[in-house]
Amino acid sequence: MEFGIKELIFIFVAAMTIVPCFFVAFSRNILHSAFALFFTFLGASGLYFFLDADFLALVQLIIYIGGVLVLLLFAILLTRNIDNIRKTNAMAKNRAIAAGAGVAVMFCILIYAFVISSRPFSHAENAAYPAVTIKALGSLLLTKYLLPFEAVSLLLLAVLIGSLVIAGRLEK
Amino acid sequence: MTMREFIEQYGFIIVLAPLLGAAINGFLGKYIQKRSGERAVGLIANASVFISFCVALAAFAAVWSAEEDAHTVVCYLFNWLNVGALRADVSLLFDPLSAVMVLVITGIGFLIHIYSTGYMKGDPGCYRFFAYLNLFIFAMLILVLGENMLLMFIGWEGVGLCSYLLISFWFTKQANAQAGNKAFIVNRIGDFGFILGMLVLYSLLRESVFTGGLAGVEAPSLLSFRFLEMNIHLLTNTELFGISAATLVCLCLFVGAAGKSAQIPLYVWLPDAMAGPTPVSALIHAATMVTAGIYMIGRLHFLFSMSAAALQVIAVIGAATALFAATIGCVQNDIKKVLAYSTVSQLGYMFLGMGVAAYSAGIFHLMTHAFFKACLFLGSGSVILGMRHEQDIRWMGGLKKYMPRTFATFLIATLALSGLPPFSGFFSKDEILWQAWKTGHHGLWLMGFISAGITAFYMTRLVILTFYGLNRLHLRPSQDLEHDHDNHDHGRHDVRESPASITAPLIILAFFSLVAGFIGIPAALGGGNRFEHFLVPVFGHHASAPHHDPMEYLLMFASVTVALAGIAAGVFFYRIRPELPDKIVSRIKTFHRIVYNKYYVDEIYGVIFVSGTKLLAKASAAFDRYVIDLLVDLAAYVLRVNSYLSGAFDRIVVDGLVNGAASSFLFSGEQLRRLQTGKIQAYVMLLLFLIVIGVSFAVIM
Amino acid sequence: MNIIGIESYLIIGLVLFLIGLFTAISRKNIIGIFMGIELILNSSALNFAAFSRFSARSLEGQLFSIFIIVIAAAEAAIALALLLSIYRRFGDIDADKLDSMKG
Repeated sequence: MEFGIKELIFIFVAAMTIVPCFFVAFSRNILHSAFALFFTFLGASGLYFFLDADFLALVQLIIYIGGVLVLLLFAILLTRNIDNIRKTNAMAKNRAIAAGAGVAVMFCILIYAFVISSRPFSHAENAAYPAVTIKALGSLLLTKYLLPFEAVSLLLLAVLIGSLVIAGRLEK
Repeated sequence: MTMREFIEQYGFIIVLAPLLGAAINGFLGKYIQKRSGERAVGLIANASVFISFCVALAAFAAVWSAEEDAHTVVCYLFNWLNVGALRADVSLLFDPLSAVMVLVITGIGFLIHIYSTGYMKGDPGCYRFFAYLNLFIFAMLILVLGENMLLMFIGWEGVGLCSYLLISFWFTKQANAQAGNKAFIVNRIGDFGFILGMLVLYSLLRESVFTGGLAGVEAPSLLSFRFLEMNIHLLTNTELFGISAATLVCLCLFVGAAGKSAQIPLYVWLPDAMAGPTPVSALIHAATMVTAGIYMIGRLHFLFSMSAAALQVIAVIGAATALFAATIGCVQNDIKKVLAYSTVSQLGYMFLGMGVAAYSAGIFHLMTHAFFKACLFLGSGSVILGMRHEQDIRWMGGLKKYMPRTFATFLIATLALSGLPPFSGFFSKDEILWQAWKTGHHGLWLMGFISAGITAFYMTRLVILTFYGLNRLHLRPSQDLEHDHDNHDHGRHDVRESPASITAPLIILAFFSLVAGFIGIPAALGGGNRFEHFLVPVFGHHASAPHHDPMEYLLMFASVTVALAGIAAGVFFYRIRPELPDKIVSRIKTFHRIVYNKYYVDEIYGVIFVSGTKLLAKASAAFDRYVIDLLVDLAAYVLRVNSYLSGAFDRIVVDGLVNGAASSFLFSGEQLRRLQTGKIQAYVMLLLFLIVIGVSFAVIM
Repeated sequence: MNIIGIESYLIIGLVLFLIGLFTAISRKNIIGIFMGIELILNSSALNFAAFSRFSARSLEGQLFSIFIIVIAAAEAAIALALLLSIYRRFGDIDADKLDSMKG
């Protein structure tokens, strides 16, 4: 088993993805949660680089960090008093049950993965994978996946209008 | 546009104008009268009838100038009913018969409207009066112009209604209201006969039309007169209850005619109908409405001709009524009652004419009678007005010099009614009598002949008592003074001639009473009997012998003689020896009392029908109380027991089941609703729980 | 076994998923719940990309990831709009207080 600089970076990136998740889950301050989420998203973007999915990594950065996270922060600022921001992310009473449920689901997935699934993983990287994926993705989107592409476009349009309608409705 | 096309397109104006007048006066009249006075109200009514009259003249001209075989002009308006085999259109039928009738109705109607403006002056209900009068004209025109029997029936009922309204026009007086009720109820009996006849005719005709052919005709208007005339032969051999269908239908229809035209035994309403204002008596109860029965027989003459038996009945009843009513007329003291019985008597003549199948003679007499009887009634109205609503001829007298115009016209009309040549009554009455004789009804001729003499007698009596001699008003018992006419409070004044609005119609009507007969001068007197010729398209050629029967001259001479004899007797008894009548009366007291009380017919009817009805009602009430109530109570008891039992079953078994089901659902719902926490995270956990179970299940399997 | 193998990615995805699930269930705040959902979506997108790289011969896994991200963005917009609306109406965004649908 080689252990070079690449593996070191991979472990770092993986840690950057997973560790902030616990802050997201357990921090009492919702702003802290949001910032932790930033690192998770960043780590996920890094993992995409390791998977040679450079376009996906960029999309992850732009949409999640540049879009969703900023939106989240705005929502937090619009809905909560900045004063008691520390207590804003209290846990619900059922967290023990939630944890139990999470563990149960984990076991389910693992059992399913190792016991039920008969197909073995191919451990080797796919050698025929293109080095730069953008061009191939683009042609796939405009040929084979044109219909989902257009459908998603339509969805985005609907969301644009719908969120305006929902959020812009005045209180009576 | 020829006259014919004009009538085909705009003939409906004849009926529309009076309806419009009635609507205006009926709905807005009160306001108009308050605002612009009763002159405006009268003007509206007069104008509407005048328009109608003008169009009627056009219609008459159209029919008159029509070619040989096209004497019928139809003004189709719209389809009225289309139910199964029954189809009826609203359309107006102009032929010589209806044209004559329309002219009489609108012409005399117009004159009487003018008269009414004078007569009803000062009456607070003037607008009501004119509205009714216009409505009457409308209904009468519908009756006459209706192209089928249904439409005729509408008019038939409409004139009955207006008659009722106008008889009891001064309804604040009990007697007037009762007279209206009587007229209406007696007419209902007749109308029932009409409906019955119409229904029988319809059902028989439908049967034979649909079984006996006529397949090509699509939904024919079965009751239209043209259809009836063409297809009545289908009923020739039909029998119903052992008598021929035609006889049955004709007799039923004649009951209707007898009711409307006041024949025995349904005449009793007409004398009482004199309670209405005098113009009403003239228009409705002398000139137009009461002739509806004669018109109906004339209109359906093809049907009546099929039944000799029915014609015989009509002739006999007509002659009997003529004689019977004439005798009563001799002893009445109310000026209008005398004229009323005279009308009944003259209507009897017309029925006699119809009964001997001399249809055009009957219609001819109808027309001339309309002129002179309207004139007489209007004259009597003028007299009544002059006498400040005194109607009893015993207290009149000597009016000749006070009311010269009224007297002159009244005299002309009297002579016409008495049947002296050359007045119109002579030609028409004589034609009927001659036809009766010619067709072999010598007995009926005799009755008519005697009636003619009596008629001359009582009319002379009326004229002499009213216009000659000295005024006897001061002899009147004073308790009668204002008892008759509470709604016309005039102060005492001298008797004087009525205004021009009253005398002008009198003069016109007198003129026509004088000359109307000339259109029907019989061939025997060198005339062409143009009237009969005019009606030939309707009634067909009369089987009159071309050569002149010497018998006709003889009969003519006889009837002139008897009329003169009647007049002479009248003059003798009331002018020369005025004390004689009382003496004679005291000699034959019982007989006089019987006749004076109209043969007690009203009382007999009272005993038979009114008491009979009361008895029947009592019996029905007893039956209702003792039999029906018992059954009802029994049924109610059974029902109560039944419902108690089913109530118990319902309460214990059905309710138990229902409540059990309901409470089980309620219980399970109560338990299940705990799952519905409303918290989204609880739902997510439930979902996870189920996923875990599902996966475990899949693993185990 | 290479440390940069498919197992690593799957384990990372699993951890992300479980933590996301836990967050979504246990948080009172709707924004917190929303963060958990984002984590779950991220984990699935990561799995798709990993399977695309290692087992499939095509780029379709990446495409699915892209679609997931796009739909996540749409969902974020709608969710936050709803959140504002809820906040205006109820004055609060605690999920366990929003129980007007309680049966």
